[in-house]
Amino acid sequence: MKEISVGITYGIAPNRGTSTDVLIDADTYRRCGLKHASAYGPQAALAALAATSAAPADRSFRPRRALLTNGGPWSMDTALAFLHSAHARGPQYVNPLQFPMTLVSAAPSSIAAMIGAGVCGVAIGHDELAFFEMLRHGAQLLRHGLADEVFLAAAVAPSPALKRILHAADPNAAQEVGHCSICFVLGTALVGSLILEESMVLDSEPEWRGASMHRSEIGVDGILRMAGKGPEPHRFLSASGAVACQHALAGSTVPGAIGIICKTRSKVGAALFRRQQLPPS
Amino acid sequence: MTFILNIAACTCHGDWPTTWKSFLAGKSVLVNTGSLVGQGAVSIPVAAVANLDRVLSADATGPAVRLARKVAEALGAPRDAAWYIGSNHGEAELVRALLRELTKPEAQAVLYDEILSLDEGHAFRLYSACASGLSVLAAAVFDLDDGLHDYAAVLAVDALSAIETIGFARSGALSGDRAWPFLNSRAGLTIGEGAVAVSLGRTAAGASTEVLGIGLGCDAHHPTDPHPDGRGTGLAIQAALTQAGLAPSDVAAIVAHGTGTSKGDEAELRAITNVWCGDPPPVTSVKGCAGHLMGAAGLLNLAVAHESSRTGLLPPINSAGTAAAIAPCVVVDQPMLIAPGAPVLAIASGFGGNTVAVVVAAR
Repeated sequence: MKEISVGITYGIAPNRGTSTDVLIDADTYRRCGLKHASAYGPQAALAALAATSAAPADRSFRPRRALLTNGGPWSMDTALAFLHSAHARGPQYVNPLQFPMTLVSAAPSSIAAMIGAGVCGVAIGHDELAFFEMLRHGAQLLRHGLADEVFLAAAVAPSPALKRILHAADPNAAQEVGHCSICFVLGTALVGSLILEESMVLDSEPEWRGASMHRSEIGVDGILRMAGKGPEPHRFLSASGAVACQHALAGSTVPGAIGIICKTRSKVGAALFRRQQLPPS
Repeated sequence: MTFILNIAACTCHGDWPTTWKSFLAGKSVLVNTGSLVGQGAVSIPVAAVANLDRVLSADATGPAVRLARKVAEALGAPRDAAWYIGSNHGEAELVRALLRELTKPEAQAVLYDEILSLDEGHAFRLYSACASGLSVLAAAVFDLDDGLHDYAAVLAVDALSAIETIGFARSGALSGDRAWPFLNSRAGLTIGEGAVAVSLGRTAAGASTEVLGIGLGCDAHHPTDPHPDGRGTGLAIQAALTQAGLAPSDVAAIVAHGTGTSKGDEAELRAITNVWCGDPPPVTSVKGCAGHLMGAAGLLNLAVAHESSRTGLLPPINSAGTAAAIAPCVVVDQPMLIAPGAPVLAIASGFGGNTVAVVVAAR
């Protein structure tokens, strides 16, 4: 079985895994290249930046290229605005162009069109372990011969609806949602020093389950503590795994295995990479 | 190897056996939206599930979750089955309900699509619009082939929502009546709702259907309109046949996506005709009878493909004697006889151009 090489690029440069001074403004929406980006929302714009950062200048149709993004409540603002407009003014005043963007799959399928992904452009997962599912599904597409390269665009950005939902779920939570715009590219034809061995999400043992929900108890916090950087004040939701992997991989340059584990209330996500020494060219 | 062990469904016709009989008869059941989707909805004919509790505020969940749970129980999957879930739209209504019910403890404890969790165990979720059902099936088959599980349960569900009824109506994509896929009289799609669940295993049990091959394709073209040549559909079909080790001539029948829209039907049929070099096998669509089940549509097509291969009967598109088909391969008015056990292809496509094709054959 061919090895799966991993390349990592950034739509927005990571700053300890969060870009606290990132402003998602009109310039970001314009720069990301996604048509009607502001209607899709800030997470879609960051995902587009991430995917295009990894795609070559020639983005013509590639029948063996796939795109996966992390799922989550990213379409909620558009969906709620759509409903509000219908209720407040009547269905006949709703802008039909907004309708497709109320779907979770709208952003990945449109970003797939930007980079010519001819295999798929879909969103996967919904919680802090979504990226481990993306890694796994991407590896499966390669191993089962359905793709030659898979772009994993992980993005998160705060949005009004998201903040309301998070506050409703846990009013005592002080953490703010961070920003993330990372693209991992998996391929069997790439030559690189980083190899993906395996990734999966499993139910955790009953005794691991804690009282809090949707919190990564071992993940970005733990990895940053081990790296001596202290706990991270921001949450990365369904891009958490990508941030954790990026931190772990950036901090390791010697050949060997690198394992990343993230835990939520009832599940564990784990990914195993291997850094290898390339022969001198 | 992966086998379909059992199928459960809930559509406007009822459970899966009743739905199958209605498909063979070309029967359609439509009601007007009326108060089904709440304030602000438009008044259109839809293929709605009868007697479904639609009060969103009652328990902070919604009709999509109730449909999902009903079908999951009917499936009777093994307790150690891994769950794979695909859906499309209903979650927006659920968040609307959550935001309205912020003082209720159950609303505060629930986020977004957490409510689709059937228990506290892990469920893989994938979102590819109307191709979601077959997309998660692909993930389940991969995991079974890789030996991660011995059993998997795949569930796809969507319920009527204000967003989809208003959105499709404002987009001008709706037929004013039932849909007429692949017929000259087609004028748009009919919104439906339902849930379909399939249990999969690595060994055959009784009369099982084998999943021979799965293919994916993406138009990478437009947020809603298909590529005129059905580029993604063609790629998905080719990939499924390649994985199955089949030539196009080995396929006995096709259960197409067939929504009843002018552009969609044309593009899909063009892709099929290209793959079969102008001589495709019989083609049908069940969206005239069941409406478009959105995220669950693909899994419904898989159920039809499974039953067709098992029984040797391909359901027709009921024209009610009103119009001819746009191609001679389209099965109109009477069920088509095919060889029992022959491979049958199921196709599902979604907004944005994602398509999944699956070939199955009954043992």
